[in-house]
Amino acid sequence: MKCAFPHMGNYHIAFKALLENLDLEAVVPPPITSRTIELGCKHSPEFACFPFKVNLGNFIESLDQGGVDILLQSGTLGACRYGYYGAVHRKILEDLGYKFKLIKPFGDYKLRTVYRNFKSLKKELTGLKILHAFRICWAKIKTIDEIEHLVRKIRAYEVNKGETKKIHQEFLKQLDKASTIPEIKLVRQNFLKRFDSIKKNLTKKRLKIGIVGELYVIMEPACNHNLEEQLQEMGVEVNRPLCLTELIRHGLHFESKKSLRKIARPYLQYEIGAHAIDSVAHTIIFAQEGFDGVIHLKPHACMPEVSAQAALYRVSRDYHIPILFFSFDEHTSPTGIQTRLEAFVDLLWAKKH
Amino acid sequence: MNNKIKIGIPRALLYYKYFPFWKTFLEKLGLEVITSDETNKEILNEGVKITMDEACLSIKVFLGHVWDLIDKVDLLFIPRIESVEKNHFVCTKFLGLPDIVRNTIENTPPILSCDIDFNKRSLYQSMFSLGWELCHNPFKIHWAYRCAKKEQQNFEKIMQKQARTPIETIEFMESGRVKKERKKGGLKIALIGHPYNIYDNFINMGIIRKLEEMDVAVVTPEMLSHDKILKEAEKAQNELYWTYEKEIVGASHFLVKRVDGIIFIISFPCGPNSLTIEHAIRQIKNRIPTMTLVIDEHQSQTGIITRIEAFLDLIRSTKNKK
Repeated sequence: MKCAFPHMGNYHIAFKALLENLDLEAVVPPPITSRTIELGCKHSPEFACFPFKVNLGNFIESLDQGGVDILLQSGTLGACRYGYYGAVHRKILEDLGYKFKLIKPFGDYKLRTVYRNFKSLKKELTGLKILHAFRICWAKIKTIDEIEHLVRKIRAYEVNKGETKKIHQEFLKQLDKASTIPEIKLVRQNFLKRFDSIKKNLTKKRLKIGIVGELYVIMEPACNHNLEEQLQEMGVEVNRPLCLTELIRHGLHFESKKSLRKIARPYLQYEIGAHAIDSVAHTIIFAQEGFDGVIHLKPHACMPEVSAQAALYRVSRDYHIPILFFSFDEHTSPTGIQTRLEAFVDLLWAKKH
Repeated sequence: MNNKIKIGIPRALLYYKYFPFWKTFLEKLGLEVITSDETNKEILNEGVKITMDEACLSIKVFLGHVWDLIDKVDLLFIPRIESVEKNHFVCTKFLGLPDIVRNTIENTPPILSCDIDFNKRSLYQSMFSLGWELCHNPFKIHWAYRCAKKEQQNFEKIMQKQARTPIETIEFMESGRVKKERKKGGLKIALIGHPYNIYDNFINMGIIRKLEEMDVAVVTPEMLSHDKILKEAEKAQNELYWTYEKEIVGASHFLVKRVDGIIFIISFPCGPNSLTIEHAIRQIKNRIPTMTLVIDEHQSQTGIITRIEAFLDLIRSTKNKK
């Protein structure tokens, strides 16, 4: 049984591990290219959100490879469109004549639904085995996020250009190979040491920019035209608090969102859907920590983030922190992004001096 | 001298759904309810100017109406609605509505809000805590709630029984004036979309009147039995979790066999509509002609008329062939 799932940043490593530990064959869709986006847009409703189109492109490309019979789409409860992707994807792909089964394995995030859904994929699976697979997946996600957080921090200070990126790529390869939890821990330790030994020039003054926004476009570099990398190459230290680890922690209530809600309270009295409160709260935290600027990313017409945007305008005014708003869709040109980023960074330097 | 507190209700979004309920509840608690003017050019332009550019047309219109009320009232009534049905939600814009208004318009009068969330508490509880802010008399609040609920039921009954639009019904309930009968005969066309798009005669260029002038009988989701269309929606798209979308999807499936054509009205860029209406159209397939009208602030009257005429011509010619 071959299972495919949509891309999101580098997390395909973790999803692949999850499926392989469940004795299912995982198909990682081809990397997102302009062709993926084109395919997705061609068959999507006109103003569906951008992640919807990219995910559809991923599905079409993996189905075209042949042999894939199961598609996995995460589903969240909440008022945002994300939870309804699965149903519309299924309908569109069926209309295109593909034969497959689309499953939302996490459903409503109740333990029983998750168990049942995986059981329906394969009868022999036991609860223990599923638990084990999730542990490995979780360990990988945590390691990826920890290392990437570090990379964002040090890349702006490296002496030999491109060194950090190279080691990061190597890390991803090694992590992909690691199959048990001790192995994952070993990879983590090795690479923490290696990142530590990179030559850095810490005396140089750098700008600090925080990134907030909708989770998919900030985590998928192919969709935001490598925005983080571009910033780092301009010598900017980037911080991005929102990552899959945090999402899962909040989603499963390992960690309460109360503190974030409290911070955003003067601007948002109520929960406004998805992770829009995070965007506002993190922007305020950035402002208090003395960041030079914030970049807000969202897919075009993202429902919760547009509501957050109204609050962000006021945060920007009240805390005197410049915010650059980007909105992505299939028509966004990389040159446009680059020009605006350069201008933003220049302005921030001018403000700093 | 009239010294009642004036409370403003913007004539947009859920006004078309719950106005009788809100009005009765607030009036029984001793407030004077004032609504904004009907949408006009000034309101729309102001709304477009102050709102963030990517918000949907409906939100822009809503903020225009709030702007219209600023100098006329002492309080603004903007409820925050997360869910109106168990295990279901509504569009995220309703979740943040009071916050959006507060953040966009600086000098608003104080906003009176209530948190309506059927997943957490009943409507009675939410309305009670709202009433408690206005008067500390539990019996009065209870009585106001009962009256409001009765009024709302009456409102929905009139719409469904006499096939009236919400605007006509509100007018009828206030003045007792009965407008002429709804047109029957000719072609039967379903007009499906959010109530704040199909009944706001300014942003959709008075589409209902235009259709009736072209000898068409119009049916809208509000004229159908609510339970029936929800059931229909569950049959067709069982994963749907937005209540207001369920009404739209359910109505379109319910009407497929009963009308000659369906016109969907979407405001640009409505989030939930973008997926659900696509899904519905794909399910309806070629069983019946459908047309999607996307309305935004740059709409021209001629554009809409041309498209409606073409659509009607197409239906008539296929009907004649049969």
